[in-house]
Amino acid sequence: MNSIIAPYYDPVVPSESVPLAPKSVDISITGKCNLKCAYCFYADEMQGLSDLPFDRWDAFFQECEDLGVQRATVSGGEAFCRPDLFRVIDSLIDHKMRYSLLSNGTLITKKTINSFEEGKRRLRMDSIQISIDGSSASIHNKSRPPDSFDAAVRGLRLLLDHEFPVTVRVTINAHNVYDLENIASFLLEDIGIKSFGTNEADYFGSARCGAQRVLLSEKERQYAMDTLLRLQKEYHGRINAMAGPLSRAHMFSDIEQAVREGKTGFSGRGTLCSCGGVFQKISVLHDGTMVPCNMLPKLTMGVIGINPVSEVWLHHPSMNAVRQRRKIPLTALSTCTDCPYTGFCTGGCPATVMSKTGRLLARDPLTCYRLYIGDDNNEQHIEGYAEAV
Amino acid sequence: MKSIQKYKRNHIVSIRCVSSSFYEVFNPDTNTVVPINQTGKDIIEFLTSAHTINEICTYLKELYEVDFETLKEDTSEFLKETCTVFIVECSS
Repeated sequence: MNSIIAPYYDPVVPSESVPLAPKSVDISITGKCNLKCAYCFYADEMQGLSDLPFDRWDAFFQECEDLGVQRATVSGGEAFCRPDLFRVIDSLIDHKMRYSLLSNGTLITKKTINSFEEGKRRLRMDSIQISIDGSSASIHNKSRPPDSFDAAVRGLRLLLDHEFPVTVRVTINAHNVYDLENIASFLLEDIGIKSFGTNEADYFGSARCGAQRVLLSEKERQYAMDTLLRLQKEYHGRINAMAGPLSRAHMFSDIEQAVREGKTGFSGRGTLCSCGGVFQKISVLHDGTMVPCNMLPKLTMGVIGINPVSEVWLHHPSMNAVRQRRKIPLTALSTCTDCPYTGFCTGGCPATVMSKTGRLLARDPLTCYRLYIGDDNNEQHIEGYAEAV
Repeated sequence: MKSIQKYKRNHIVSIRCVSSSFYEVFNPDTNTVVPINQTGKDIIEFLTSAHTINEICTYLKELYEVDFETLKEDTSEFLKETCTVFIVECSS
């Protein structure tokens, strides 16, 4: 039994550190996508939900304006699959927000570029992120079928040619892990982007039920960590990561160094505090369902236009449950109670933890330094780790 | 004759309540966030129509027990800063 000795809290009363209004919103404006990515977190049952009509989004943006929400991250599905995408963007602009787009890039044409030139669509854009998962069609298309490489690269080049604030995300998985060197060379030298971000395909959506293996094995993950660290040096920091192998490599290297120096922890660590997202933003799925994060789709908190955003933001028990994680010391978890490294640890992404364990109050084995260095002799933990990786 | 300057809030800015005494005013065109306190918020909200600095201070005098000259000095500084980042617009 995984017992938790948690401090009592009232789930409908937000802690004092919660801002009275969100700073940004993550909105999935469509469940439709022209690709069938092997690891898509938004696949699975999500695609069965129907897209919210424009008027409902417009009314939601009015609510956001009243709260002073400053930014929106627009995704899908594939955002460009929504025929009235630019109407949605114009509504965001009218309601005093800036926006970012997450896209697979394949539907971006010269016409799209021209459409962005209208009104304040360019002025208000923070960034547009394109996903590239390989240095060649044969590798990219395995992760992002069918045959999307040429169209994605064409879209990326168009955006770069017209000086859009483009970012690129590479999701490392079993299909592209041994292509990292070529990917870096292709993106940074051939295409000429300033930098790109990496993460790792995780146990969500289609990766949970795919017939083919897409998640990294521990050997592959270790290879990715070593390779990315080396490439990051070679390319002078032009590869970055907030999660995944590169982030993990830095985290473990920092812990190793600190332990050598006799430290027992880092400031602000030692609790389930890895994610600050729920203190700044709220997410809305394409059918209007509000969730703390779009990677926590089962923690539904009401529907826009029916439940006031301000109420959900401050008082919904699910929102506050994710926030309250950071008050839970890792030593309160049965998996970590005797771990000498808890002072360095943050427990990992709540969505990943939820997806793997079905619980919020647990740690992600992939972020566990003790398991990584083989310093945990508890057979159950080792078994859990082996299952997770 | 010296013209009287009037101040008006830029219609595109929004105000976000962070806590009961701390707000952020945001200009999405310039991507500028300016942290303000309750008095700053009172000024920004008052400036939905154009006002002179004397009118602004007269309004604030009703809300706060501060002498007029101090109020005028602080308000002038606030208006200068917010005009620089296009939160408030100034016209003669």
